[in-house]
Amino acid sequence: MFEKILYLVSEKQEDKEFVMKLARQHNSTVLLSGILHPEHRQVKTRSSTRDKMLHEDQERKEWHDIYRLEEKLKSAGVRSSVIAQEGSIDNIQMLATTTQCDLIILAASNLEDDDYKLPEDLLPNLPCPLIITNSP
Amino acid sequence: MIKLTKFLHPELAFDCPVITNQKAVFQFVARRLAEQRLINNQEVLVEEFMKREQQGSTGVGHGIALPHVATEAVNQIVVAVVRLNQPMEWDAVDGKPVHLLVMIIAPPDQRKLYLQVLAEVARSLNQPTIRDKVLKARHPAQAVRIIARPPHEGFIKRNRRLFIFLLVVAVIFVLARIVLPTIQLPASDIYKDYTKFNFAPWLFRQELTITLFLAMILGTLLFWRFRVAIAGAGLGILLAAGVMDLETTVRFMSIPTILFIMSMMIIVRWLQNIGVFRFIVIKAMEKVHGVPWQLLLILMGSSVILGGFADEVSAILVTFGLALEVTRRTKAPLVPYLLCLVFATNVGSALTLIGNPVGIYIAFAGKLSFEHFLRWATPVSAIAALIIMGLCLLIYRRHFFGFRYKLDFAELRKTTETVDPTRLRTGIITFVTVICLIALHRRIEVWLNLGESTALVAVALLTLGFIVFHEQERGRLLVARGVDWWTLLFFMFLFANAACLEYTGVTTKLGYIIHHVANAFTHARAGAVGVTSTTAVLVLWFTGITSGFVDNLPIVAATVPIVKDLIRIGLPHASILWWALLFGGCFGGNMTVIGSTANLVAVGAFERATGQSIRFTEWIKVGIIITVVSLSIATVALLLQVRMAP
Repeated sequence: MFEKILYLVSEKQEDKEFVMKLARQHNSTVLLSGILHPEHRQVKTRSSTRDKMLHEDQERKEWHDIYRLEEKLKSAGVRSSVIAQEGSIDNIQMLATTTQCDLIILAASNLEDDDYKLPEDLLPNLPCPLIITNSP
Repeated sequence: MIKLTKFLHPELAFDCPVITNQKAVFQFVARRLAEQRLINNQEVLVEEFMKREQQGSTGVGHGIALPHVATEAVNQIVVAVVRLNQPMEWDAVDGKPVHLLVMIIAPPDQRKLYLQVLAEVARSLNQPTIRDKVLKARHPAQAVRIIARPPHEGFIKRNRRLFIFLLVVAVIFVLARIVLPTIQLPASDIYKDYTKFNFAPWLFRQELTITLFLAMILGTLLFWRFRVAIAGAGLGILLAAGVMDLETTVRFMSIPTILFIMSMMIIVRWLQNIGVFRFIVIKAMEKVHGVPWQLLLILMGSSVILGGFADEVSAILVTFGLALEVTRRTKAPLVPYLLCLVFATNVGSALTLIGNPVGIYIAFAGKLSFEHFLRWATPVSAIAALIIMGLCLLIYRRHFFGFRYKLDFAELRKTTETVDPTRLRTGIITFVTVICLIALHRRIEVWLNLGESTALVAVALLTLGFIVFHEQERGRLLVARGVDWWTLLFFMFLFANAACLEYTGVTTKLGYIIHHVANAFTHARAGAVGVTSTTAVLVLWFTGITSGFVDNLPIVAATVPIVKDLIRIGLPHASILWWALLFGGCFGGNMTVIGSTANLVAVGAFERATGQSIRFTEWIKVGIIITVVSLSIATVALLLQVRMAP
């Protein structure tokens, strides 16, 4: 049913397991993308060295998480690919369109800095369903 | 943190000859690595890579793939960079062919380090600037150097936009110091009260004010995200330099205009949330039964009307949102819809007083009523909109004629069925009532003996009160999120900065020059009315062209005091200049992608929906035709009516 699942990787273990389970059930390919938090989006354009270093460390951690998850998926027999593009709440729609995915999985924790709010025009214009996970 | 220079070496960078399948590429690389005695089993390595690709493509998008395996075929981590002379299909996530491979091979016992290297390579290639440089590298070894040690931009290069900004501001200040003292207002009857502007301390105040105002315009162009900071800082400098006192500053902020814009933002947001606009447009779309050109006309007509009676941003959000749904279902190209709807929205926003902040500002500054707009702006905008609709159909005829969409309106209709009918009814009744009351505001003011524009603000505030009360708990959220406070704050600072141009006599001097230029370009027999006509054409085209490249409100805000001054010096029928300003500000926004807020909102939605961006040239080649045509229509209308203007 879901040939391609776009998963914006979150830190929550429960979310990762949910994605893995869902992908196994539907024999899906999981497309893994990082998510860029608003404060990092701002840091990207600022020139403060300290902020940039913190941001780079955060990026390293996220990419590490993505590839660790990719390894896990591989050993669980789930097909997966990594996308060299961080998703942000603003470009989920674009990512979903370019990857032609059938389902998007996003953690509620990724919406924390946006007051747990999706942009108004996002849902009506998404090409596929969106699941927001809310793991403890 | 690991250093990629330890793992990436120029000698492990290869140019791959034309090879047509993945296996051949892996075999080529395995052979080269074996030659350097870095791997102990070519077949195993190729097999592992092939197995990895079967488990999911390693094409990460943007023409790059990161094949990576943990295998016994190596004893240490090996990273090879391979440039494909012939781009190859790799089943990448974005569907694009791959030009460059960064292959990471690690022994199974170094899994932790392997993941770190992989993450670091991915992080490096995820940065668009580095990715571009890597893909454009002259040879693979150069690509290796860029990935391993990304070039850090120096302080000057990193802050070049700031330096350009400061340099231009300094040049403006110097020019102002040279030019402004040379413009001397004569001691004639008209200017006798203004000759003080020829001397100190007013000269320095003028130099400072015009420099800060132009810096603000330039700042909004270069640092859009910081426009509030720039405008606020400019105002702070004017206060600290003693150019204005606090009381004058607050008066110049044009609080009634801000109150009206704020209230209208909440009203329109509420109507949009309820789904009133979407409901109306879908009802209209159903009438045309999938005939493409009729559907485009309905959407453009809706953009014009909503642009005029709601606001330009809501109009484009609703109509372009529907166009997206139509093109998604019919596979029709989206760009023609995008451009046509934006053009219609911008032209429609000049239809009434409430369509565009430019119109609202002009109405308050010129003490113009809704009825004035109905008399002077609505017919011209409506004619321009009709002609532009025809022109758009002509330009994009191959996308809209000779076939019919297989469109199931039942699906579109379903989205409106979820709307609460009671709320929808309340919304429609409120919308119609507000428009009627706003349209009658001048009559209400006369009837109740109120000051000019008082009823306009009162109606908006009363409606705001009703909506917040009606929405109860949601009312608070509506006020917090329905108002673009950032933009509103910018408007306040902008209005104060612009009014300071008038206060310090800058606009009096500019008005004096414009009057002289218009005189020089007018035939003697045309007389004073001829000067007004020339001035109107100058104002229209100046604001029209500049609004294409700079935010239209600062341009209009700076021109308003000049128009006021030209009216004050007794130019006959000078009120025609308000309409020249309105048409210039609204129609000019069509020229470029950055010309108006509606353009930026629509392009943002387009990029999010398609993953593509629209090129500046693609926009301007149609935008320029639409702008020239609409400004020409406005020119003819203004010239024909100049003698009728008060």
